[in-house]
Amino acid sequence: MPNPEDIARPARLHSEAPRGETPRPETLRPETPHPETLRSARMRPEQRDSERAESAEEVIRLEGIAKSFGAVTAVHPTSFSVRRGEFFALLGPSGCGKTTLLRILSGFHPPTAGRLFIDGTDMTAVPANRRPVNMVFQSYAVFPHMSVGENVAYGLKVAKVARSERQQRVREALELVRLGGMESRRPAQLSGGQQQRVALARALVMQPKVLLLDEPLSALDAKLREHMCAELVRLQKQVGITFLIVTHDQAEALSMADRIAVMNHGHLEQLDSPETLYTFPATRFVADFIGRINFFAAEVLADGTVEAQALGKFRPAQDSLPQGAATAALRPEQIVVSTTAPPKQEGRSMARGTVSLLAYYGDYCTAEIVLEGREDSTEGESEGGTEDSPKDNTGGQAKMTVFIINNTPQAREIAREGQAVWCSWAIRDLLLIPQAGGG
Amino acid sequence: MVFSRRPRQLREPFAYASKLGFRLFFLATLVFLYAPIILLMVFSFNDSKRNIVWRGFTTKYYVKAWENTGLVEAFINSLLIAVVSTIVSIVLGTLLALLLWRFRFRGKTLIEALSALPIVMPEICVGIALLVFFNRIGWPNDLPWPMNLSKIILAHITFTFPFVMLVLRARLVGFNPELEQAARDLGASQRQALFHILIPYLRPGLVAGGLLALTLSLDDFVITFFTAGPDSVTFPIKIYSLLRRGISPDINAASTVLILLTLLLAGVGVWWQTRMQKTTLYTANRPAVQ
Ligand SMILES: Nc1ncnc2c1ncn2[C@@H]1O[C@H](COP(=O)(O)OP(=O)(O)OP(=O)(O)O)[C@@H](O)[C@H]1O
Ligand SMILES: [Mg+2]
Repeated sequence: MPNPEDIARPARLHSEAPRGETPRPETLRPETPHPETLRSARMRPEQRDSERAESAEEVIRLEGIAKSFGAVTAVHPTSFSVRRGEFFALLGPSGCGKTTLLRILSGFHPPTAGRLFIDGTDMTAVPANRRPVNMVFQSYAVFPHMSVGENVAYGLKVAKVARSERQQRVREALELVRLGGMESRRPAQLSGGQQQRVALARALVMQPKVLLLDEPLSALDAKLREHMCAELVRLQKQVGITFLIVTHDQAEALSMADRIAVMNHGHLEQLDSPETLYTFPATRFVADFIGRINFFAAEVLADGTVEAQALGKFRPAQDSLPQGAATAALRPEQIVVSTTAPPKQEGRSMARGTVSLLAYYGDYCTAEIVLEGREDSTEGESEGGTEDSPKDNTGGQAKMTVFIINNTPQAREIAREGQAVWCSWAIRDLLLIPQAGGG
Repeated sequence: MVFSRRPRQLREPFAYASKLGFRLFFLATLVFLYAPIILLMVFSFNDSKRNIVWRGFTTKYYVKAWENTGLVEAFINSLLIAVVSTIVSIVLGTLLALLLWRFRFRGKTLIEALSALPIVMPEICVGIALLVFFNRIGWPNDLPWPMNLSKIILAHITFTFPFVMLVLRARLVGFNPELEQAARDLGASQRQALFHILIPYLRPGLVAGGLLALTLSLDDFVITFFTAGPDSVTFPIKIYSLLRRGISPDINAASTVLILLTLLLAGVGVWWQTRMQKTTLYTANRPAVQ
């Protein structure tokens, strides 16, 4: 039988010492390599990715990993990799297979197909206890019959780390998650947020190659969640360990992650930086799932121009679009609303409409604007509002959702139901999603 | 429509206890349940051959019971049988409970039903079945002590381990499987996860189930009667045989000892459970949400 340590130990060379041995989390990686997050204004996602691919080292690689439970396919063949030291998020709606994928990584579900590499070593068949990854469970799973200190020490104890070193590392890990001096507390005496920190410390003390977190913030209240978001980012920077977080909350993913993999129905839809995902969603699903967006039925014509419902005819910023049906998408914040007609400008387009639905959010409002038919549009004459979804303009009355920043003189004019307004936008902001990529 | 009736006054759950009728009812129940036992204990100190009139205090029947070698031997047999069958029951019951909790397999429902059968089967049937069974396979009757108790021990295991299993299965329902996975994730083998996480979680159930098995075994008469030989007598059977010669105070004395022993065991169990609960709250199945 092979020695478990040999299996768990990476074959590849890198600066990090194998787990179970000395270096402290803080000293693991003095400079944390963060993938560049700045984005030059209009660079295409494909360019950016090929640019980055060679520069970063991958710590996890999935090759056609798939998982079915009997007749149910939870994860369709999926391939991607996670880079060393990055904050990676798996984002998707409930039931899309995020947890299943995470459990494949941690070793609790054997995949039905495909291969999994952790730090260059094939780990597809390695059991959970011999994988150099650790997990923070959704229920935290803090051992109730052990004190906080015993909880954090558990993994080290099993790995037979000497007592003095163990104590030292436990203390450091607890300080890292700001639970210093709580060693002797019982989990039952801790709040939910504190239990979660124990779970974090317990995993971090093992110095994993990757820390897996399954919806770590979903059980916390809004204020604490925000705080823990910042805390997780701080921790990740401090220890330099790769974090892989599962979440269904796009705001969480956008604010924390370096890169986000968006999943839907067991498929990987898109893997990119938050900015790219938001600005250049590859599929209709991604565009819809992340942030707010307005969709318009469109058609790409033979000459490369686009004819979109309620938006008229225009030449899109993207070139080499496949001819045929497509969806034009526009984010609410890219739309300028005014009560008077804005001056005609090169590269900008406009439409008249009426404010119909206002929703108040404190610092801003969303307004749904029912657009009037455009003179140059073929489907100009709009009939009664039969459409159910305001963002999905496939027929009937065209609507768009816009943001209005509250407590401005302008807002007081616009934010009135029935107010006639003008909406204008830059044509290059119109994103076109070919039908094939739509969901 | 207007309701003119005054709303009925709500009572706290135990407010009924303040009513005289209920108090009397409680008292009657208590008397009915415990008077015979208390009477038995009291009369074990009665200085009289007959158990009818109080003639003064004495402990001589305890000495007499102690000097009755047959009774002491039967007592020791009973203790030995109870301890051995309890230990085996705990192991078997735990294994079965874990098996039924963890795995899905063909025939699982059948095993579930079968394993609970000894609880619902009339003891007399089990006793006769065991008698026939042991005769049929020709289990030796003339083994030296303590091997001559093996039949009784096996018989006791068959009806005590389902109780252990039931108690543990009830406890396992509340177990958060992520606790065990967390241990595995931190490097523990299956066996380590079992002993470090699952068994400590089950401990209150193990104590409760063990006590149940112990007391069931200690006072079992029917099944033991059919599996005991002339030289393997247990305490209840010995007392029964003594009774045929009339109720004598030394039987009272011996019974009192047994009652006190059972009470002691139960007391230890309860004390231990509350102590465990003070140090650990096992209810942390889901995290406390702030
Ligand atoms: N053990 C299992 N047996 C059968 N089906 C399962 C099992 N685990 C998951 N599934 C199915 O696989 C699909 C993906 O489940 P998964 O738990 O991975 O979703 P998720 O993305 O984590 O959702 P959520 O955000 O609700 O946690 C679901 O349709 C689910 O019903
Ligand atoms: Mg999940």
